[in-house]
Amino acid sequence: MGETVVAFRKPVAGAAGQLQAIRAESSDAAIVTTELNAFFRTKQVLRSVDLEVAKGQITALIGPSGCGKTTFLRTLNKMSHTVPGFRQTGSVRVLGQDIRTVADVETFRRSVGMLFQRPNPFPMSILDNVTLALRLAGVKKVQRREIAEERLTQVGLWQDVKDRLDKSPFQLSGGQQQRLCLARALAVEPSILLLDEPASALDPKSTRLLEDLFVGLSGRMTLVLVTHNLSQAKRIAARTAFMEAGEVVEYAATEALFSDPQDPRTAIYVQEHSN
Amino acid sequence: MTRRRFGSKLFAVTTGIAAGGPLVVMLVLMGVLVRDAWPAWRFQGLSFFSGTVWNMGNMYANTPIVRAGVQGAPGASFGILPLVVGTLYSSLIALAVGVPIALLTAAALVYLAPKRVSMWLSPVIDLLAGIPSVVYGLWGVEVLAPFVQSRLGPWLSHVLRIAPFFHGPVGTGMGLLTSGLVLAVMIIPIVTATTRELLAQVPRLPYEGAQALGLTSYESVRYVAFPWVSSGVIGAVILGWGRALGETMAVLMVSGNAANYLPTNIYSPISTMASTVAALLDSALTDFTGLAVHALALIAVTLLAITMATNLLARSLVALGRRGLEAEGERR
Ligand SMILES: Nc1ncnc2c1ncn2[C@@H]1O[C@H](COP(=O)(O)OP(=O)(O)O)[C@@H](O)[C@H]1O
Ligand SMILES: [Mg+2]
Repeated sequence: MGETVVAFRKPVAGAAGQLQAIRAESSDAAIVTTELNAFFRTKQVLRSVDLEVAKGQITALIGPSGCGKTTFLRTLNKMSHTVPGFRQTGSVRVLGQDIRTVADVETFRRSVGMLFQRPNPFPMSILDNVTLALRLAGVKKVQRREIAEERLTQVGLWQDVKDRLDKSPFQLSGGQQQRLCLARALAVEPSILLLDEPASALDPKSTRLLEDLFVGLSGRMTLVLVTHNLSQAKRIAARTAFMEAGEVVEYAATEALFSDPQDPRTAIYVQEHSN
Repeated sequence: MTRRRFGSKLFAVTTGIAAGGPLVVMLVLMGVLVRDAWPAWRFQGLSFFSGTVWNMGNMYANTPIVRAGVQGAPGASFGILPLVVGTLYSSLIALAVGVPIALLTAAALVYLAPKRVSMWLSPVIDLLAGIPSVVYGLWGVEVLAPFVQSRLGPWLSHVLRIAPFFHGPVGTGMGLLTSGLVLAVMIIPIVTATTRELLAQVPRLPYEGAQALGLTSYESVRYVAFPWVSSGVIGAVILGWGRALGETMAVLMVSGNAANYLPTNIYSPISTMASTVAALLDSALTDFTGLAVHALALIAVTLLAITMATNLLARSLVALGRRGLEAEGERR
């Protein structure tokens, strides 16, 4: 299933010194934010966020609505930066690069995929949804088709859609649509996936399906999952950050955060939202 | 109880009438026009469409000639091919020039321009759509025609010298190209305004999905926003086309009023159907046989038919395109 996804290189004897240097910067953390503040005009939405997201893991972000989770996530792929009046101070390093130095934002975004709160298929055939970005990148048709089949298989959709690839995606169920969007994101082989409450509009069964996919992807890919569903974070995230009012209050291994919160604010939130 | 029933009956009847109104008006209009045009059809037959000579004959003669039981002035001949050609060509130039500009402007207003700019520009465009056509005509005569004559025409003729229809004497500047450009300017506001409204209705989420996938703004607009409202945009284009086909005054002023002349290049003088009806009505009324007026009515019927045909054609093209849905599996 994952052969085409480029695995992170294992250290090779001889090149060890060189690798060591690269590692120090980028090999354990996919995302590092330092003193990150974000503003919409004069309103401060993120406050001094210091967060390291480990490579190849699922990291969850939880917190009351309006606390800045979406803004944080959209800052990582520079989507926030398209909002008029948005301003960032402090640094965000994604895959070793400061996002302010990103010159080609389109190429950058191809390495940082995103799944939204509601499925958002494009108004074109199911197949074209998966292959559009490849087509625009100049990938040959035969190859596009192969990649599409592979990705649709990977998200467990191939059997359902193989006979109607040329049909509209809007006939699919919400869960299927969201998996189509996942296949679309995976088609361009991102290293990081940003997930903004991707299951909030789905039924429990579709939610579980999606969670299993995320778990399958971790290891090869770094996933940042915003969720309002604490048990979802517990089920699949290695580490969890709790945010409140634009601040990261606590960031720890998921088990630790839920069973032994260090900050009283975390404790209250976790208690009130667990059942 | 009975009162309520009566009320709902009344409602059904009135809304029924209101809904059927346009259709009735359309049919009545058609009926009257066709009846009015009928004698000219009998007199001229199919050569009405294929003939290139429009001659109302000697309208001061005393003895009419009779053909197919219809009286006409001696020498009368009604061929409108040059008018049909002039109408179609000028409207197609208008679309070719105007539609890309209109679509790009609409996209820019919705997706690129800062809010403040589009807030100011949008009403200006709506205003442009409401300017009387005689004003555009005057602008065409005083500004555009001289420009075409002295600069645009010679330049085009030189650059496109291998393309036959674009190469040739530029003439007075009054003609096909200038008519097409004036029409383009006239349809841009209406197509822009309609498309802008449509694009503003495209949900944010799919567009953002495209951006997040690494598509450029242009690609996101082209592949996600426009397809989302494609049938509406086609409707806007048809609206513009209809306006270009039927425009009378502005074209009359800049067309060069060619008589019985098929355009040989893009600078040739032309006449269109609508402008000819307006221009000739006065003298047609002096035809002692009355046939010339019937012939003008037949031009109007033809124009109506062409407008409806282009409408249908465009809509079926959309339906065809929708069926294919650009599916890679289906296309070669
Ligand atoms: N485009 C925007 N313009 C202005 N304020 C915004 C915008 N998007 C979000 N906000 C504000 O930023 C804060 C954080 O929002 P968000 O990141 O969506 O929170 P969450 O995802 O945790 O619910 C909220 O107060 C919200 O009103
Ligand atoms: Mg949110």
